[in-house]
Order: sequence, then C-alpha cells, then structure tokens
Amino acid sequence: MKNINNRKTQKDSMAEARKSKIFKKYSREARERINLGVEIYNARVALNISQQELAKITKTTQKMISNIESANVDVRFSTLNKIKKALNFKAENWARIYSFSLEEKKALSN
Amino acid sequence: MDIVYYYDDVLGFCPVKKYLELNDFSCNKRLKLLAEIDQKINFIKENNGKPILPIAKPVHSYGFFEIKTRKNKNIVIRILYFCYMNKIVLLNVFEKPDNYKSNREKKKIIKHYEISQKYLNKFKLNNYYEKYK
Repeated sequence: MKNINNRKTQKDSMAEARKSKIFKKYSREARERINLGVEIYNARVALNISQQELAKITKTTQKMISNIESANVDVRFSTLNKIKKALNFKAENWARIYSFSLEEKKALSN
Repeated sequence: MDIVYYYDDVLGFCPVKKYLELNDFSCNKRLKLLAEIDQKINFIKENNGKPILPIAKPVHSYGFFEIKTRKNKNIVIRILYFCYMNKIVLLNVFEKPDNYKSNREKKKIIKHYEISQKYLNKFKLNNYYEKYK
C-alpha cells in the first residue's frame, strides 16, 4: 500500500473541523440521529411495515420516514411520539439510541 | 479498519476530500454537515465496512456501497466507498437531486457510478490514498 501523505496535500476540511467545539456537539447529535434511524428501521422491518404504511399511521409522508431513518432530519417530538407508539418502542430501544445501559436507565427512572 | 481517501493521480487530488471542502456553505452549516458525514462514516467503520441499512447500501451492478446524507431539501449527497485490504476507501462523491426525470440527469448519475468503478479498479492496482483524519 502506498500512503501518499508525504506529498503536498490538499486542504483537509474534516481534520480542521474536528478542532471546533461545536463540531463535537454536532457529532453527538448526528450519532443520536443515526442510532434513532437505525432503531426505527429495524423495528419497522421486524414488524413488516413499509415506510408508506408507517407514514400513513403517523400521518406524515414516506419521504419524511425515509429522511428520519437515514438520519437526515431532526425529527419533531410529536412525530417521534407517533412513531414510537406505532413501532411499540421499549426501554431497550431508547437505551440503544442514547447509548446507555439498562441499569443506567433504571437508575434514571428511580 | 482504517478509513482512507482514494487519491487520483491524474486529477492530482482525492475527490471525496476535495468535495468535503464544501465551499458553498456557511461555517456553521459546513460543520454540521461534516459532523453528520463523519458520524455516518464512523458508523460504517464500527460495522467493519458493511453497508448497514438505512445508513448505507450496496449500489446495484457495481462493486461499491453508498452512504447518503441530505445536503438540502432537494439534494442528497452520495458518498461511494468500498472495502479493500482492511481499509474503507472513500472513492467518490456526487449530488443527486430528489426528483430527476430527464434522461440527461440519469446519464449523469450513471457516469458518476462508472467513474467510481474506474477509481475502484485503479485503487486495486496503484493503492494511492490519503489518510482520513
């Protein structure tokens, strides 16, 4: 393998962005959106519901469901509530989204 | 698994790295978009490069996968990558409009895929890359 990093390289926007504090905040938010999208996708597929059907149940559009699953949008609280009801979300789902253990979850609810 | 940018010796730069300069964005929007792309790439890395739906998927008829990120209301950014010798290689990137109907648009998209396939074949021969930092 030839790593050409010794050559005069172009601007590295990603490396520069990492130095920013706000980048870290955006990264955390993006990771939670990704976890949420994956969790919704897995729950929907497990229930054998199409994006179109989920959109109908939650009174939104198929495009919106697709965007939420692909972690491309900040989902509204009301929409998220409808989705979690439709997909029967449990504590395990939220634990995976926010990356905390179920023990932590129990401690929080006490 | 390392993440690397494919380097094109003819162009003299890495197509994905060049795109990520995102010059048409304000500072804040650029950081937000970069954070989203970075997290998606890292998500793929955590899954050993596998295209985990709905974040990434295989591209039909080609030897690579694509990660989708929304640029704005009507445009999605598609980052094409493949895995080779314990590396996630970021090959190419292009913008795809949501509602494209004309044959011209379709041909443009196919052209992007074909160029990316050429990049993939070239990478296997010359192994030129830059580290993703």
